[in-house]
Amino acid sequence: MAFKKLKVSKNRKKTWRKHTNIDEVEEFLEEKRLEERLGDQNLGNQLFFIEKTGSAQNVDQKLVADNQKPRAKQKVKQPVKKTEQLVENLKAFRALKSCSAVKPFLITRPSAPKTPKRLKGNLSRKVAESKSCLEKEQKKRKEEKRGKENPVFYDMWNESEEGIIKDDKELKELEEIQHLLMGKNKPKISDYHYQKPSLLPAVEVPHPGSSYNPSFEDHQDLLSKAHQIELEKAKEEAHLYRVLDAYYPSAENAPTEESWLREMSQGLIGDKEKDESENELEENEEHPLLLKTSIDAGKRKSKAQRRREAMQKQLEKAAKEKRKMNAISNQIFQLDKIKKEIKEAEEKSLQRQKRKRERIISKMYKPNILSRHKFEEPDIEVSLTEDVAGSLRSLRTEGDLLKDRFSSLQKRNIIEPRKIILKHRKKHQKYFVKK
Amino acid sequence: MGRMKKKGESGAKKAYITRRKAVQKLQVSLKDFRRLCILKGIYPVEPKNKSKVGGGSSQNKTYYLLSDIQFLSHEPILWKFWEFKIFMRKMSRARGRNDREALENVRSNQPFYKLDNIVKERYPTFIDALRDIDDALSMCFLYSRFSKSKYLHVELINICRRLTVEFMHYVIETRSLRKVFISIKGYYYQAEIKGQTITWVVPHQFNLGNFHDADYKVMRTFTEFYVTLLGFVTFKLYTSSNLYYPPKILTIKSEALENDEDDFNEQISDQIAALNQPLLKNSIQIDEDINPDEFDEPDLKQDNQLTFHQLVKFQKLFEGFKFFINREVPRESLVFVIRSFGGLVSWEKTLFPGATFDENDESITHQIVDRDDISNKYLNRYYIQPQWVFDCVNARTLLPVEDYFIGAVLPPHLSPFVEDKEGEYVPPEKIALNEGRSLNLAKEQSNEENEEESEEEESEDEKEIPTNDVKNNQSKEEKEDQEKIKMEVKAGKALKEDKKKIEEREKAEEKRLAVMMIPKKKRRLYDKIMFGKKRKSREVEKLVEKRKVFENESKKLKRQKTK
Repeated sequence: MAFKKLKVSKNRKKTWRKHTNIDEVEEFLEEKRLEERLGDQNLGNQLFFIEKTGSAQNVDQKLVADNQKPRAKQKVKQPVKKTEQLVENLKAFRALKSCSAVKPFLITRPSAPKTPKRLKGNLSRKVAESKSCLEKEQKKRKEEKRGKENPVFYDMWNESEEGIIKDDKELKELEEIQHLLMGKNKPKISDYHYQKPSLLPAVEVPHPGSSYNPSFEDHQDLLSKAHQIELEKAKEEAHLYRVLDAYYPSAENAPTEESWLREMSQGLIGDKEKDESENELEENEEHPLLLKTSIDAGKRKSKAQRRREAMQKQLEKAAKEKRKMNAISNQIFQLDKIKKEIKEAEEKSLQRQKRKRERIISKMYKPNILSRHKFEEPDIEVSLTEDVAGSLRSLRTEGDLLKDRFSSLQKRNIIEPRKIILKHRKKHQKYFVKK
Repeated sequence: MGRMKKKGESGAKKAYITRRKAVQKLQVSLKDFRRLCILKGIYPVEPKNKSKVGGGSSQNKTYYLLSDIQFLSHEPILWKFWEFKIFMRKMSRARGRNDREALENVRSNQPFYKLDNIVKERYPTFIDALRDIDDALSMCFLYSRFSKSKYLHVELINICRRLTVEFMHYVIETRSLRKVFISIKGYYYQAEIKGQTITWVVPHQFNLGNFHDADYKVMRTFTEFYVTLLGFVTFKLYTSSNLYYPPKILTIKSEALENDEDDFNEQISDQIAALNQPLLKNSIQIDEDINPDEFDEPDLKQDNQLTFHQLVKFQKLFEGFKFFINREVPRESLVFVIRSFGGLVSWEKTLFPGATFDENDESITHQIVDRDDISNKYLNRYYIQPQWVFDCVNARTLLPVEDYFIGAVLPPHLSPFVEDKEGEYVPPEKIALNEGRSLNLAKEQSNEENEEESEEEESEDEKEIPTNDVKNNQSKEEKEDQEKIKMEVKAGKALKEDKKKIEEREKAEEKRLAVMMIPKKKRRLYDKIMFGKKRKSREVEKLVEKRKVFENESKKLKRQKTK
């Protein structure tokens, strides 16, 4: 069984001292101090050693042997070692060294990485490389910019050239990142995406009356249509006026507080006696029903009565069951009727399905409600009879095609209908300091 | 028992998402969200039951399908939008500090996105793209007419212009134009390309001073996408009919321009924009591809009204004619229409580059004029008003030029898009147009015929009357005699049965029986329909009568004038 370690907060000096275990550190330091005072107990092993490499002569021989090795290695190694040793042994430098044998208790941090020698040597080449890289980047940007002005097209639907999109590195990268970010694979494109939200044609065929030189009948037809729409609008406007403007009083005739008070206190002041007598009458007649009704306890049923009733109920239930069973067993003789019923039901459901389909299709020809604002059919463009030119040169154009396209997109449920809300600019306020 | 279902954790509430929520989810601005939706073809939807989706409130809001938004969230273009946002911030920062160097540096690193993959994703096959090209064409034609402004960048306008010209060249080369209609809004064209009927609108040439109510930013995004779509479609169209893409024409490099490459390129693009020269074909491929047994079959099948021979004849409607266009006539539309039916066109050199012959060319057959009078007339050519060209195309034959001479009151320009319903009144002009003859001529001819007929009838009657009398008398007597004398059996003659008549009779009988069998419930509807039909025919009769009276009166007036 392991004991749970006591959890103590060591945020204060007292608790810290009490609970921190520094025995190991203390021991180590004590040992070191002792060593410094008395010298190392194991020092004998270091002071005396068995010579294995041999005398100076041997060293010379070794030098000779080294000379026989390839030169390159020697050149780099030996002189450096010698000079380093020399420098270390100089008295002046020895004085600079720490006299303590105890190594400082320090955490060594990795210093900044040294520049590799190779790079130092090839700095100029690196600069050139980076320059060329920059130039490449700039060139790419330029090409992109040119591509924006003069896009390049290719046969997208040809299988052999399909790879152009697939091999687009940047696109691929972005897609991968995106999928990673979203944590899911790219969702499949359902068939729903390929269905347009409306069955209306993109470019609606114009009314024959909107010809620049229309025939009389067509033109009249178009005019009457436009007229009808205007009439509807006027009717709507009149209705709104009647219901709103005319119904409610104008600002001048609106009731003031005074007039309201006057109206509300109409009949209150002056006819006090009459009111009181009426009140008395009302009190007398209060809750007439409540007073009259009394709770009737009724007669209690006898035991025999209850039994008989239960019996009767049971009998009735059995008879009902029997009748039901009879009806089921007799159904075999009504096969024709049942078949007919089934057929009728099927037909009915088919009809209902058909009607539903029709409803859906007819809905596809109408604008949906896609935002707070309703889609408003744009006005019909009409050239008035006196404006009909009869020649192409003196033609007077009507309508705005951009707006036409815009409303067509709205009508086809591609974008939601909106209303332009102009930015309301506050009047610039001037501040003065009174003196 | 399963777990209790909580409200709003499944069903309609989870299937839809409001626009506000969607914008939050994608971490883009509303403007960028709109752009993304337009580019990717994601449309708002109307939920069936709003109160279920809206958590009790049935307020009309803009909803999207949640699956759509999830689909959008995987779109790599989102990164570009985010990048662009940062780019704009850097720009404004540099601008605010008035640091030109930094500004230039930032500007040179403007993020740029391609829409190729989106086009491919939205239109997996070429035909899909072609079916949806109406919108793209109309928008590109519209944008190609705009001038540069704050919301309209020059690059977009230029691309639109280039693409529309290329498309028109294709239509000319393949002779696929079918219908033209000049309305007060603009020109409506209809073409048959690869079996698809394509309709588009082109605004009138000088339609300036329009202050549009439409949202420019939204329209620009649409155009951005449509440009890409149209570009790929035209490329495919060009390559499939062995044309070079970008289009090439025969050009001779003049010495003055030899040194200046830019000027030369500009000149070429002008020449191409003139629509007046045939494009060069990729001749090597043609030799391989030509197969005499293969025709453009889809064209035939789709166009129900035209047989192959009719179509070929229609496509060569203006072949052999040489047109000269006066400066007051809209050049581009006329050149487009004439050239797509095989005619040759030219105009004044100073009007637009690309003119091929002068006004004083003797071989010109038609000069298109839109003035009241013209001073120097050539005798060997017709001076006609531009409507003749369009009406000829719609009538599919060459109409007589007399009605369209200078100063003549033009016959009405009828819409080719109207399909006559059964039993409706058709004005005589339309009948004349359909039958391809001049109205005036038709009238005159019919008058003459009538007169001749009546004369003949009178003369015949005069001649026949005396002879007939004698003959009749004789024959009667003979017949009576024969009846009395002869009573014999003769070889029977085979009774000739008119099969058509019998069929008709049978059909009528069947119809009568069918009408009788109509149940009571539907009887009323049937009666209503029949009543409507009768009323319509009565109206038509009335109109015909009116027209007759009007014509008689106008004739009388004419006669009085001549007297």
